[in-house]
Amino acid sequence: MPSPKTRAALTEEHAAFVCGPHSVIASSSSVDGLPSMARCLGCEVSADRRSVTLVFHALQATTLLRDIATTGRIAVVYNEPATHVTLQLKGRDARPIPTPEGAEALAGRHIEAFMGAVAPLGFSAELVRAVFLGAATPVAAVQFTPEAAYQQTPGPKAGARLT
Amino acid sequence: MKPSVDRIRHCLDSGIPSSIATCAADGTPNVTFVSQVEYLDDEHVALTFQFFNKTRENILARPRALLYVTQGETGESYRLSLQYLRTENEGPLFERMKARLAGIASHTGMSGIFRLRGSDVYRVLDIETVDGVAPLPAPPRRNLLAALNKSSTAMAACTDLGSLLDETLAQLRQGFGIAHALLLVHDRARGRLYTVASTGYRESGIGSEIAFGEGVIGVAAQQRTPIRIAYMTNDYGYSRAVRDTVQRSGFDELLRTEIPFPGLAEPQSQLAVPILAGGELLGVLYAESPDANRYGYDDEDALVTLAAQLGAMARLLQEADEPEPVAAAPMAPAPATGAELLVRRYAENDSIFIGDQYLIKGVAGCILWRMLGDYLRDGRNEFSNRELRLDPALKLPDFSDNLEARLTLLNRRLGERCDALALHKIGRGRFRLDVRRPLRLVDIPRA
Repeated sequence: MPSPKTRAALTEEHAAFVCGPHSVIASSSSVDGLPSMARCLGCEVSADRRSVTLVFHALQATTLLRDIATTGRIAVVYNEPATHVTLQLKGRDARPIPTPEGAEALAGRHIEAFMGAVAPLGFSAELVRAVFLGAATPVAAVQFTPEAAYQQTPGPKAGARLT
Repeated sequence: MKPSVDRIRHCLDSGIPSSIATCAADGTPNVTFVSQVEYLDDEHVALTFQFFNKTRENILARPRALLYVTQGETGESYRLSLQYLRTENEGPLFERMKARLAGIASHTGMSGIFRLRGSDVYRVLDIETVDGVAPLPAPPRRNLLAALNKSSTAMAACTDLGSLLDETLAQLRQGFGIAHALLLVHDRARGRLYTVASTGYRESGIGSEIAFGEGVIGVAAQQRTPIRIAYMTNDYGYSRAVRDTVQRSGFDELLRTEIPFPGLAEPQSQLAVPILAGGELLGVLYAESPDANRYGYDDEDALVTLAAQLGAMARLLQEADEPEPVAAAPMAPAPATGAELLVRRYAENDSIFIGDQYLIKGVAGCILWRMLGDYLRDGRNEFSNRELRLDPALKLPDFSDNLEARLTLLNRRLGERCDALALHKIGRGRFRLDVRRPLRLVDIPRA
């Protein structure tokens, strides 16, 4: 079996999917094994597909960011609302990083695209803005190496490891 | 502060999927979306268990979870810390969730994929408001408490079952904006429900029957719990249920005595609430709508309260139906004139036909047949509930059977199908049979 050092856990197809206009939720766990979670405002994959950067609303993700800083554990689920295609990535080396240049622009692009994706399902742009953006929008970023990808599309195969 | 699920209940019915995070024994997190979150009480919720997946494995190993819910109109969001308690795979909660899941599955194109294996019950340990969300103002809502107040007052003024049923439907229309509704009475001897009143349909469907367990009405009766579906699903359709019954029977005669169920062909929203009184099931109140997601938890609570009052009032009126002393001599029957009216009774199922038209069967058929016989033989046209209750030939299941409901059903069917016969209440527990044409009775014995 190829080691993570020789092959990226993310295929090109998965990398494209996780950067799409999907509903994205990240979770971590405390040292006591209690879960934390927050909505993600945007996702970016490095060119070699070995590194994923996530952007959060800092106020929405306080506990998640603390747990990530403490345990490095992360699980992120991506769901395409119209098709229910769902993918989960996991990693063990997640860490908060200084907010990269362009993080706010990434969040802005993701939210705009997401508005377009859910409008046909009856969700207004105002609602999407309300859910993602509070009155103030301090952006925080997290980076991790995806070690495994799991299919989460509803059905008996949900949970199957893909890479 | 103690967490209160009641205060965030409106977020659990949301069109925005909730998500759940759990941890494996080694602390590895797992996060996924949840089809349905069911409110149980102020401290408990239930989630669907559909697949043996990582979430399942995790909560069995480490019974703590975090649930993220977002309200579909305002965007307000909460994180609920949960403690897994148990899984129920039968009973009222399971059936409620199974029905609701069928609607969600159909709505999301997941019919045949979503299958409820169990209802996972969780205690809510904490509820955290998600900061950094800017909720939109909630849209104005109908004031259900004001509607309940008005309905209760109007229903409390009713003095007989027929007007109570009609008033209930009128209040559903006016106070609750419910345009399509049915009231069904429980026939305990046969384990079925029959329609006694309806509103909003081209055909009233009075006399149509639903078997226990069929559709949301039958399941609500069987489980004695409200059943609510937010989206159209074929899994809980009635036209199919009725059609199936007919196909199964294979008897032409049965086909002829089947009164079509009047409900919408494709209801988007359905809510069936059992009518209970004194620990017994009296019937079901059913509301439906062509609009998706029409009924929420608050509507359900309001109709449960309304149904409780309807049940208590119906029971009260039934107990009060013992006859008063006769104040005056019975009136002589008005002379029956015109063409002869042929009335046939099939002993097989006590079905009554007026001419070639099916009228009624079962206990109500028996009651009519007995009265028509008395009328022809003795010229009697006044009867008391008490004598009907005590008549062994009528096969009333027991003394507490809702005879008044059967008489209401009979009278309404006569009103719709036969202008030569009618029942009129002439005092507490007493009524008069009006016969306007000469009768010929033909009894068809069992084959």
